[in-house]
Amino acid sequence: MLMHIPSLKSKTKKTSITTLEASPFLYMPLQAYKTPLKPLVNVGDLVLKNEKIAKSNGVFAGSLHSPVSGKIIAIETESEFPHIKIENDFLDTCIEINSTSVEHLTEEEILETIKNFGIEGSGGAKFPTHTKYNTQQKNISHFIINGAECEPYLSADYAVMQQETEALLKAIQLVQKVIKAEKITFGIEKQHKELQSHLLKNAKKLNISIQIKLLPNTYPQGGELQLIKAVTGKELPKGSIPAEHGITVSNVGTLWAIYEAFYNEQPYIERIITISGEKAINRGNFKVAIGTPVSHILEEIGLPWNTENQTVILGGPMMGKAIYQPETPINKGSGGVLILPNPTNKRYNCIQCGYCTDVCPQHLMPMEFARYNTEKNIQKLYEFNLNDCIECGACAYICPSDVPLMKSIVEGKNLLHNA
Amino acid sequence: MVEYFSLFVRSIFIDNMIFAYFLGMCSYLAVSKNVKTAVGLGAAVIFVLTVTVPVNYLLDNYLLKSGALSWLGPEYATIDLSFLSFIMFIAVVASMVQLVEMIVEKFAPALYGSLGIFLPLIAVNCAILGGSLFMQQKDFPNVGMAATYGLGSGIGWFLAILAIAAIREKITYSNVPAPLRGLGITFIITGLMAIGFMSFMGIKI
Amino acid sequence: MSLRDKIDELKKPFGKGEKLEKWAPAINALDTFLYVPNHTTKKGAHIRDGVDLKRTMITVVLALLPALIYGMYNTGYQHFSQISGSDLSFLSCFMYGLWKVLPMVVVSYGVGLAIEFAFAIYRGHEVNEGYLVTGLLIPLIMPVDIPLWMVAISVVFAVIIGKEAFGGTGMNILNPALTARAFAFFAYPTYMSGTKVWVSEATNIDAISGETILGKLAGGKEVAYSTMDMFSGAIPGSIGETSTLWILVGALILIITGVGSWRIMAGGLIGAIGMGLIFNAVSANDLMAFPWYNHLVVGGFAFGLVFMATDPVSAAQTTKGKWIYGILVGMFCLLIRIFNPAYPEGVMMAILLMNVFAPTIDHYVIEGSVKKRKKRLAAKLKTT
Repeated sequence: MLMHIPSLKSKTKKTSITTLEASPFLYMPLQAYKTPLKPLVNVGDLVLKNEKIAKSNGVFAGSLHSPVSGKIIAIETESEFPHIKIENDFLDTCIEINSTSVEHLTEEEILETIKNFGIEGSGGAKFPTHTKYNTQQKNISHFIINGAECEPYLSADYAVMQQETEALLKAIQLVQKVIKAEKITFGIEKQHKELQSHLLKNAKKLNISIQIKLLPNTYPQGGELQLIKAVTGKELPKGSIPAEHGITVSNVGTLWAIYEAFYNEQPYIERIITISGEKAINRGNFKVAIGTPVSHILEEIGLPWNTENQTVILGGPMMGKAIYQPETPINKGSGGVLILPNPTNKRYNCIQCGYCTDVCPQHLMPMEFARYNTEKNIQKLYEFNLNDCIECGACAYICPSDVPLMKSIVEGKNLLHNA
Repeated sequence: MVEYFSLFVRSIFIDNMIFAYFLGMCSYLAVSKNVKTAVGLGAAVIFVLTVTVPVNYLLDNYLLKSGALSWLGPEYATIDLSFLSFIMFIAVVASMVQLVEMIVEKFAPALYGSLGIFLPLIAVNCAILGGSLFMQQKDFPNVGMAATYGLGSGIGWFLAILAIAAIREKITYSNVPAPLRGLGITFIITGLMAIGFMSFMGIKI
Repeated sequence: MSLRDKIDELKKPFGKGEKLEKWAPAINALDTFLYVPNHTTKKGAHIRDGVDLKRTMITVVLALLPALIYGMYNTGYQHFSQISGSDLSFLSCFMYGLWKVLPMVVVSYGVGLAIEFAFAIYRGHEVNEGYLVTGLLIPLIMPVDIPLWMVAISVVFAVIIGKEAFGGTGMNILNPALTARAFAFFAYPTYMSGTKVWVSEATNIDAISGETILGKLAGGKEVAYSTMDMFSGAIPGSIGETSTLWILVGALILIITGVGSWRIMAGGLIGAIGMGLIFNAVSANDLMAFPWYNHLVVGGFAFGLVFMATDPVSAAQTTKGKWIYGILVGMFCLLIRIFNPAYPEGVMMAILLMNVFAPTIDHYVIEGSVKKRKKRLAAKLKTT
């Protein structure tokens, strides 16, 4: 049984995407999937908009581009939060990018561009997209587009699907050139049923054959494994690669970034996020540059930065992180900034109601993790398959006793990792 | 057949060694910290009881009881050796325990290690001697009944230690008041469990 | 000045470093009693489901109300119907019952909460809402004429030995309400069984016997009630247990809100029906011949299964474990009823017994699924 969470999206769902004023300082995050990025610039250098400022190599190669033109004023690689700090000169001088027309690109060129433009999964895991699409040996039968934005409050993907439909479909067309899937399915939640006809109408115009699968409004529907299960009926074990089963899943936000890369010659330097939450004054969907600090976003919507009477969350309310550093930036995987009231709930004793087991999408026993984490019993944590946990937070959400289950899961995973 | 069944059920639930007579408490309290070792010790107790009760029954009936030696000849019919029954019973129990110890050490060294001193101490576990003495008192008509009784008592003891071990594992992280931690709370649990087992008191089968 | 401000004002002297700091848990309990705490957290899920422990407990209390109100009416009805020619209107019966039952509820809550508060202050933890349910269950499973001091002593035993000794709500192994009843049952047997206790101020018990149906059966007497009477609840018995109809209403509330486990209830029904059918087939004596469907509506079976067996703390917590636990409760309930004439009310003992074994059931269910998963993983490794 998966659980239903109130979507809380109504306030932002229909707002049109507006561009947020650029920040005077940008903190370009150097973390990436598995391999950290190496800076290509030095302190004092002048960079142009769209210029590559950091990269990494290997299978999970990634790269980072400057979203503004300006001066590098600091590079921190050793700190807990490695970043490149750029001072914006507000001139937006772009770097020249010579490109061929989209229709004539070969498969390799498309993959190369995706890699060069630093496109990563925008759903949160930040998995490099070129690696995902690089599936020559495998036969992809099913291309699933993840339009299930199951986190409450967040509506950025919805806004893209509704307002940038053409861009989205063109990106699908382009990706299809590479992966050559037999079937394209759009997974959207039932609560967004109105999108179905809208998407189909536009797909017809562009002559793309897509199917729409309406998914139940449960959490976590947008998790890759849960989505695959809901669309195809196949239950893949955690850790298996969907491509091995002939499936590729892409997020709506990622596809939007791909469109920007090919049709506007713009690397992954901005993304669409939702700003919402009970304490936010100005809610809506915004286009912001990667690296924009959270404090700047708050300022723009007219809220002072403070952590005393509000909690700022980067990402969704279920899986996102509470932010206590004003310069924490938007990264390629964050779907929103939420401003919520401060937590005041207290922990009760566990009453063994078993709700956490009921709602766990991976069929695990979260209360056992809490227990064996206090005991530091690595053997038991392993036996109860803590590694299969996708950290969706459903157990912590449902727990009537407010046991900090996510905390023990994260700590337990660290224990397992170090063992 | 019916009387075997009824004796079997009685000895497990109604005359439960732990909850009706509170016998064999020392190892019950000491080795019930986790289910695995509890199961090991419980199995050992089942084995020892199932073997010693019928063996002692034979000893009692053909050696010790007054008139038990009449099979040697009419002149022995008046001899009553029952004053020897404690020492004889204990000797049988001790030798059986030795046997179990050797078997466990050979085939389950991990269990042997975790049972520690309590395995040889089964020899002086009052539930074991108690089983034999109850057998003597109950005056069973044949050896089969005695074996049934031994098996039943053993299973009853096994169930008790299994249940308390599972409960103690569950409450490891309970916020028990400091003075009650450890044995104190175990005694309270045993008492409460005995209330649960009261449901069988008075059943007539 | 709103209530919120008033409470904040009130809380001031209890703050950190203030004079009355030691008493802080007491005032905090009052606060959370009235206000739902705000809902975000630092790590993990930043929003919470609206159903917290307090709402859960209040749902159970709501589910108990129909049985409580009917129980009050029935108390009066049983009392007046033994006196010929007396007023049998709903209101007069209800008022009589109210005056009988209310003091028990007050005593149970008063004594129980006093102990909880004392422990909370002494041990520095928060007062929990768990007692709200227990405190209402205890009077509902007692005979109506039991002296109030006995109720008080049972509550003291149940709360201190059955619950606080283990560290409070969520830690106990036996259901505290049943612990209280079992204590009263074994400590004061004359007040807890027999012919006189089930009808309030039974003056005329020859005319209409005050024995419960199961008691009568065990004593080999005729049962004069129809199945419909037993279902609607106009029979002698503990205050809350007689009306299966209103208990079903409560069960519905528990199942719809998801507070009570339907698996345990369904398991209990299956176990009892199965056992009942077996006994009906054997039919060796009057007790065994008592139809299985009547077993479901007499005595505390329905009440125990709906409100006590489903107590998540003392029940099994795994899904499979809940089924096993429920089925065994049903089976043992009938076994005890039929084989043990000393305890005609088998359900209390059956639930207590299964409370004892619930951790064992869970242990083996969990071990089983861990092993299964390992095997599946091993099989997968082989194929790939």
